[in-house]
Amino acid sequence: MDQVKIQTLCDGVEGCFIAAKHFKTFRISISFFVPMRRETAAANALLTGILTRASAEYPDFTAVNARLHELYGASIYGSVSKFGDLQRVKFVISALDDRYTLQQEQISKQAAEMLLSMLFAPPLEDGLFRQADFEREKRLLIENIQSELNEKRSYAIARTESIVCAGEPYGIPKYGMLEDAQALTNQQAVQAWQTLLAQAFVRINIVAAQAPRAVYEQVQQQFAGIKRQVLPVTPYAPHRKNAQLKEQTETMDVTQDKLCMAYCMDVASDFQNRIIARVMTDVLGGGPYSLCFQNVREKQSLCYYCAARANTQKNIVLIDSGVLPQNSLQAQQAIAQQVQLLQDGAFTDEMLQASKMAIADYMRTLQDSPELIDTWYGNMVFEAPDITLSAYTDAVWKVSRQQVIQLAKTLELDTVYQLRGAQKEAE
Amino acid sequence: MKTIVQNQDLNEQCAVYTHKSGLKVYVQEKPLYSSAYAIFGTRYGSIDTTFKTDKDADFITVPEGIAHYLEHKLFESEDGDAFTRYAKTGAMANAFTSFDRTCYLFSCSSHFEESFRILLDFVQHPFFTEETVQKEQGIIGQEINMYDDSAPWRVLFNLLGALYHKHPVKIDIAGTVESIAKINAPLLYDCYNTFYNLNNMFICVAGNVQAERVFALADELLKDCEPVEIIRADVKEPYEIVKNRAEISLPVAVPLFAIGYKEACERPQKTVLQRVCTELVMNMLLGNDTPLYKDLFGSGLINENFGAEYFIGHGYASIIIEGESNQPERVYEAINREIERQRSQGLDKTAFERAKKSMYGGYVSNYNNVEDTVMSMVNAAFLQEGVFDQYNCIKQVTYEQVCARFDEIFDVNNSALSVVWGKQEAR
Repeated sequence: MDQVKIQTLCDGVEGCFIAAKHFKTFRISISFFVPMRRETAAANALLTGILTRASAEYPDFTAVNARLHELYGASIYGSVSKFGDLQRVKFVISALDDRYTLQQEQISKQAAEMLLSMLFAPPLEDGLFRQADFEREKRLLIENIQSELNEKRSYAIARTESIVCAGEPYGIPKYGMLEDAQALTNQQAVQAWQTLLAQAFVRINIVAAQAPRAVYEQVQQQFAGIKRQVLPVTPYAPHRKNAQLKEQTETMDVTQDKLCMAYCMDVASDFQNRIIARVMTDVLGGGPYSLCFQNVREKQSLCYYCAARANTQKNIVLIDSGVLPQNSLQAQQAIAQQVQLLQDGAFTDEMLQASKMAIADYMRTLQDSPELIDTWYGNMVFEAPDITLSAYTDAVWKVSRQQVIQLAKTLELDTVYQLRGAQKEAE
Repeated sequence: MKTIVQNQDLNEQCAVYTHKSGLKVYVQEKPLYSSAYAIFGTRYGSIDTTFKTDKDADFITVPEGIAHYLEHKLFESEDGDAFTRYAKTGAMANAFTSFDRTCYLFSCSSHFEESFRILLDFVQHPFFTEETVQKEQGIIGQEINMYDDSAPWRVLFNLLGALYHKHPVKIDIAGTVESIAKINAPLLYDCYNTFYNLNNMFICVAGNVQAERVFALADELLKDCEPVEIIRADVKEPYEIVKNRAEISLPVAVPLFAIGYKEACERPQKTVLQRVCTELVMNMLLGNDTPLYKDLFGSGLINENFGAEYFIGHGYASIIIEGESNQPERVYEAINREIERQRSQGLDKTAFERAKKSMYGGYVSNYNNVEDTVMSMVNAAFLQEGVFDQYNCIKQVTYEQVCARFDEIFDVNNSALSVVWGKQEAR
């Protein structure tokens, strides 16, 4: 990767160009950050569909898709995610670099124009989205929310996060609540779209071989017609430990139970501490060298997977595992024991070294994927927007055993969630 | 023997070295990348349940799931497991077993040589004892349980059970809790000594490596071995399907469906032209720019989770369409009607041009990252084709070839529908 350049394009709109000549594609992502609020969460989620399936020029989704196929299989998609107490509504176009087209077509410019026209000029009727489009997207949003149940592991993680952070913005599901999606109106969706354009903090990442001057100019032109008043964005609102341990069990017809244990940690709001948190979490439940993998899975055979992840925006460490029903209690005790071992410093230097090596290796590896580069710089937007991958890696190498132990000592169990087989409850 | 195959359009080249054992080593250098990705694979998967070598008098039949079991066990040696060794290099290591192949892999951005040595060492040094074999039953049993709860997994295997009478592709890759209980150390050695013969294996590497160095390492690390000829029992799979419906209920929010169109296999493998033409027909009939998709998606019969794949391997071939729908039967009927309509009216030539461009773009994009590059090489190695054969075929394929292929596939009278209903919709 040759260079990273961040610049302000207009009020609350940042462009980040990551020069990369070795890819065969280019990628543009446009992320809108707004406060996560129950009243707008479902409407924002609906926008990821309705804005990517039609434009003034391409009036329906088959026309859009046909055009994308003509552009050598370019893809446009929208996604929604939680970013601390913010909701991130993201739109991406990825297409073949001009150098690799069959007749030297300039598709990058056409693709960028297409994405911007879809976001800024969707087909409207009387100031609303076309009713049929709205109804279709509403149905799809409801199905998306309902379908989260289909994948039990991610469902269990999402449920745990909602229980831990109940009453906080982060406790709201990324697609919003089902009942809010069901009650959503066309007016609310249009209002959400206008709010994104006028009030969201916007970050545009471009991973490409060529400098994006033309794209930036197009972006500036589009925003020039909008009166911007950017909402304050504060993603770092740490979760404070619940006064009492929350324990919740849900029953379902499953063969393998899911066990999630959420711990609070006390990460002061500086960047170095977040890096320590990443190393600490990896020692606890990262690769095959980690405490949870070595002891809970390999030595005690209590689960098929047992992994830890840190949310440094909310100060939560979540450990999730898939366990046999008869092992559930034992697994819970074993995971708690690994946390205790971490706090006691009862992990080897080899484990710590392996964690740092794995993170450092991953940091270098992500330079080889446009998607991972985009994700990385997108996630650093408020934290350390201009930190390079190598500076981050250097900071990882500097994390000491003592720092890991010190942070681990702040871990306190907050919530235990179990998804259990229905028949076991009856026993 | 060393050869270099170049693709000037893509600015890519692949060096191929044939080891004296018959094993081929494929290397694509990507000097601008930071990482490297390597696979050591064997043509051995879950479908290889009855076989013999040219030195054996009789066929043996082994328990279902043994290829996957062997994959798990191969990571262990007398000195500990391979993951512990990889932890010292920082590489991310893994393995997978599919229907027809088992691959051991790592990715790294430093210490490639050390990791490559580990890979070639543990795959060539099996170490199984009754005790270690028994220990694995718990973990694999839990993996099987996890898949039992996975609706996408179940809907696929129920479909395969409806399509195939005898072919072992209908059996779950990991086997069952009962079948893996029959696995013991001598059986694992039987399978290892048959299928992990170097003559039946391949190595593929891409990324920031030097081909000459990889070849030298392979020469140093690959053991001498006598080639064996593997004879797989001939499965007399009838053309006709078993039944045209398979339905179960699981806790899912939106029902899942899988539709399969079974094809005859006059030869064990399809040619590159057959594969490319089939993919193009699938895109022209079912792609997101087609009239059928417009009807299904627009009317709410399907959602965004809709796609098709050409499901092929040794002695089996089917087109499989998967998605979510509250009315899977209507989706199935609509697809069958569209096949018949296109059959009588002829495929749209504009749609062909679009699909071809899109397929070309998708293929080129695969070279964006080292993992996809290696997977392309693995496919070529597995099928003993040239690494750029598919590229050349996509560029040269004609409308007439695609139409001719359409005449051979999508037999609506030899198709089946599998559905996983939600508990409340059970019928």
